[in-house]
Amino acid sequence: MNPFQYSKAKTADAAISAYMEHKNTAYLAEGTNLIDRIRRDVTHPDYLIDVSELPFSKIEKIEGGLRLGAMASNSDTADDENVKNDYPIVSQAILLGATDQLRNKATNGGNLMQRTRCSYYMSPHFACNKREPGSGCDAINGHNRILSILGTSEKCIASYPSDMCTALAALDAVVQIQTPNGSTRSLPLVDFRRLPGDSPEIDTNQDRCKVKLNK
Amino acid sequence: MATSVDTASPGQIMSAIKVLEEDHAGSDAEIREWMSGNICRCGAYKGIVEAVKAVRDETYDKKLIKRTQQKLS
Repeated sequence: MNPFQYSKAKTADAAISAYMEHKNTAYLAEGTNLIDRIRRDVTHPDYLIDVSELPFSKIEKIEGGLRLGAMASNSDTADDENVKNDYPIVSQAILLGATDQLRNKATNGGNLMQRTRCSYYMSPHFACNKREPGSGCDAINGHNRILSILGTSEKCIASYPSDMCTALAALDAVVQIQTPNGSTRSLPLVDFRRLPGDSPEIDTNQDRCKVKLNK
Repeated sequence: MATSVDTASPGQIMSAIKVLEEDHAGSDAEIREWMSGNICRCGAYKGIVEAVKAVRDETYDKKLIKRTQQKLS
């Protein structure tokens, strides 16, 4: 585990400017995925921006659907009356994953942004293009029963672990993203997450994510 | 007693209270699923399920509770 700096952002603007200001940053929500990866030496961020107190914990009815706050917990989302009544698939999918203790901590935003649980990715002594671009993929000829069959590339066969987002994708969910210039853009969930292709190290089509990785 | 060591018990008890409060103790399978986030090294899971059911059905030994309360007060 590498040492890192830490700061807590009180607003989305502050979080984004900290993200742009520092190199090799990561957003930390409740840490149920990121902290595991840091402890296991899979990810080495130099700067963590704690976003857990950002005011996005509501689940609200909007025209034509529901808006799930990025900082609402998976438990609160699965338990929400509107989610249960109008989109039971989301509630059921969430309850299929992890355990109650983890779902109490895990946020919707973190669930969306979580990285693969491919055991080769999670074990630094194996080659993994997602963890170490260009190092190869030991999973392709390894124990790969639980990895992807569809949407793979020659570089990566890792699967995306989110049950919740699989349900949201089936419902044509849209991800709303605040950009560095303050505007909001919307991307269909299925376009937000990327297939591995030639650059499996990039998980999402979030522009700033790419900008950061190219630095 | 449901569990055998103190390491797991506090977490098991906290989970069990919420499992009962939030009404996830309908069947053995449901109890097992909702209690599954707590690992018991001693493998006392059978006893844990029995304990949750005993509280749900109020079939636990009430004398035991009284004795404990007296000891604590």
